Amino acid sequence: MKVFRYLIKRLLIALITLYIIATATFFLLALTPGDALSARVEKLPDQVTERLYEKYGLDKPVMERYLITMKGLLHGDFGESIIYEGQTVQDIIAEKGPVSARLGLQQMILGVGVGLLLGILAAVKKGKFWDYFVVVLAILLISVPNLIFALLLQMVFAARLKWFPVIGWPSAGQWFSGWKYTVLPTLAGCFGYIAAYSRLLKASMLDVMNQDYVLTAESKGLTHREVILHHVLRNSMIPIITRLPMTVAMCITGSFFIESVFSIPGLGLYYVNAVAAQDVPIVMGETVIIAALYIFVVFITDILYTIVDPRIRISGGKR
Amino acid sequence: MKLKRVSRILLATVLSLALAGCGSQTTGTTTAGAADNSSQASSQTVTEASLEQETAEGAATTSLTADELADEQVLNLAFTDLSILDVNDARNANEFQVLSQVQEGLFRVFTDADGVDQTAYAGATSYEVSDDNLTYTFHLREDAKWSDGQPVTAQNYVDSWLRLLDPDKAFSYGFLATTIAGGEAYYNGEGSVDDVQVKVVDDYTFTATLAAPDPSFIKKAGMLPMYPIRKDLIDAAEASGQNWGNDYTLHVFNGPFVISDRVLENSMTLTKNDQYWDKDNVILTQVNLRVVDETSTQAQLMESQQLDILKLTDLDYVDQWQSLVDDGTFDHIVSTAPSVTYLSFDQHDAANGGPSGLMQNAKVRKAISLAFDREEYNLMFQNGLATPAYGLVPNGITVGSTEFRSYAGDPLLSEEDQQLAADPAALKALFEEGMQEAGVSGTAADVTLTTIVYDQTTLSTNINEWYKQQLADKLGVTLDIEVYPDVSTWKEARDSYQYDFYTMGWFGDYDDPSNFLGLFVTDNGYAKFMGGYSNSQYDELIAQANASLDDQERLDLFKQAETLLLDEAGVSPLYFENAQFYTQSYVKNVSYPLFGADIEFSRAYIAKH
Repeated sequence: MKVFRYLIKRLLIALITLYIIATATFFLLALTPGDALSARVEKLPDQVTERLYEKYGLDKPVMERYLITMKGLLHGDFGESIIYEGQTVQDIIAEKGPVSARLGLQQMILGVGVGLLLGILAAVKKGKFWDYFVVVLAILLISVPNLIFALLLQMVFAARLKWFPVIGWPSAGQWFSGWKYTVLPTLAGCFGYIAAYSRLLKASMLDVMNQDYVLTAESKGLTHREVILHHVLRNSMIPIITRLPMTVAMCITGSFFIESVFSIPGLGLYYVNAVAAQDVPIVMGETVIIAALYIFVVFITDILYTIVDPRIRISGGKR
Repeated sequence: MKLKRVSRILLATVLSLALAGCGSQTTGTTTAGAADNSSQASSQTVTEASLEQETAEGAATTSLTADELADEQVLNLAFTDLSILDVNDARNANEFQVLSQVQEGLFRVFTDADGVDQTAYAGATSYEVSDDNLTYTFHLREDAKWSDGQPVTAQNYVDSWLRLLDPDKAFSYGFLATTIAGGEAYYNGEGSVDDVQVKVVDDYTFTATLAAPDPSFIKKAGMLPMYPIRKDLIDAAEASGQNWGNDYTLHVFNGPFVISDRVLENSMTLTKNDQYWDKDNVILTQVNLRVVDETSTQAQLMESQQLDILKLTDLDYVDQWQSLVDDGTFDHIVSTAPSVTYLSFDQHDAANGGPSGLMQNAKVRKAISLAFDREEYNLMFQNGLATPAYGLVPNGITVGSTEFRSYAGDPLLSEEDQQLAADPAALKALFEEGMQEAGVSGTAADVTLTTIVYDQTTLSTNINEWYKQQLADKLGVTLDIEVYPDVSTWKEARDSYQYDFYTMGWFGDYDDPSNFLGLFVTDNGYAKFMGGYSNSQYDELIAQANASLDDQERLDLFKQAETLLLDEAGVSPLYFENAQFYTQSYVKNVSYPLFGADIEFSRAYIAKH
């Protein structure tokens, strides 16, 4: 019963959150000067301009457009792109989502994997050379924007050494082919994960290593290796596991810079371009869908907490 | 016969003028061309072969032998994805570029070996104009087919022209057809489609009757938005709720290529159209178009031969690639663009001369206009690659077979103007004389002019600082640069006349001086953007030129009008743009026409390399 009430409460909060996000997005877009048509009508006579605005419903007052948009959202109808006539958000996410998702997952698997190894190394060798090495590396990787990495990798490994193609992506709908195209974009985007996860795991491990039960384990005469593997590592994984779902969700939204540099038909690039072009239906649709995904993932994360950490329990609405 | 009136665009002199401004490129380009004489010659053969189609129909074949051609006839280009695949609804250069290669209208424009535009019959085989210059009769090619095998008929053209004017569609290029009788009223939602005088005569003949003679109508009729359409397919798609605008599989094509694949905002593949009437002269089998956003990536793709032609956006590569042009890897093509950038002075009556109160005075405007050193501007801000403008109409624009700019000369380089420009004291005296006439007291040093900008790039900031410095040095006038955070607040400032001048430009839509000079006719649709110059004598000259079908008379009238406009400094032209194209030297027979497609590659081929 407690769990049921908790779920209802979460669902309500989720809906309210989505509503606020949609409303905020709509009005932020409406407040932005200009609109999707302003460039097109620059050279048009006034009557034609008026008719064009009528055609896209942009002649209506803001509140009326807001109501129309919200009504559409309720029915899952986000409207058609103003820039690419006839394209709907669903079409675009179906076409471009998998591309961004594959790239994002590859980056994540590589980045998190390497990051965790480095984190363990830094924690185990605390205060020694490897510890400082990992700290410096993490700072370096986190402070250089991935646009720079992308351009550097492209220049060295594609243009100079010709090991990989300069741009491109395997044809749509293929998850495992054309790995050659994915190597450089995967590398370019994994550094942030390496930095974040190595620091996260190191901090978490150091925290656990100071716990009494670790002292107990050591005093039982277990080897350092056994203590790390069985007692420290397992318990240090809690922040990692709870953070992973968010990372996965972020994958799907894609990366503007990397997709732009390597000419990858992903969602990130498309989204940013849509915002720049003020393609309201597309931006609204994508924002709401991605926000819904995030909210769902946050919910999963909360459930995960209770599974991996027995100290946390769901306490629905009790004061 | 009639073709001669449309074609024969004498660009050669223009191109050499444009190149003279940047000596090193000229030599580089020439060397690269000369090093490859054999294929240069064969490239001309292909051009002639395709142009002579109307005389030796079907008989002309390419003189290329297999060993001159590379095994793979695939062209790789960078592009911007199309907003829509609808020819009537073409919006930007990217739609013109791609759709002109997969569809075909009455004419197709190529450039010959000298870079001169040559208009060839394509969908049409001939046309006649009635004695009163109002009725145009077009005869269509009977062997032209759509990619589904259907013939291209007169009905397809008529459908297109009427749809282009449909008031509910509000197509941007509707103005191309508004000179047709009944067209303007229909487009503006005041008339009926039945009154638009476009009629089918038989399957391969149709007529269009104009409301009044329009010397540039034949040039407009050949443009992309006037290409034929398949109304049956559009209606069927719309009836079943399919996305005709952007789903390429619902389209058929009557041009040299068809669209065979597309990934939205990423790539497009064109393959040769087997139904095309002139397919024997289409040698490329496939064209890959890629969206490549980063200029450094574009450069790397060019250097590694994964792109074959690039229109340069980052002009720094002109210097960097000179060695590649010298050693014959790249060809560098400087192509005139129908574009002029200028200063618009606030001459609207409601503005009362702008914040300074001076802008309605011709002497003041003239002094400002002559205070700017256009050569210096070009060197500082355009890498010396643009052409300084001493007239309003850009290079390459023609009347009949005469290039307007070379006929009209350079109004701002007249002896009188040159003397003034070289003598700051005289220029300042002219300015102060104008101040007195305008009833503004004090000296030039007391004057503050205002310019408004919204673009905050380094380049634009530097340009405005340069204006400021030039005006201070030559006239002793202060310039106040008002920066607005975005276009809409800038527009508000513009519409409430809070400026003395601002930088403006115009990219021509069709080949006629009226397309540029018409912007300064009293109360025309663009007057509010262009400063609102008003002079009844000028209006009269343009009206006469637009009513005349005598090329010589039109040339003279346009010349008089332009001279008057610039004498009174109704506008201050700064520079004409030149497009910088680089191609791999093994890509042959590509055209770079002034209007329509940037790159006409339908008859291009890849030489053995």
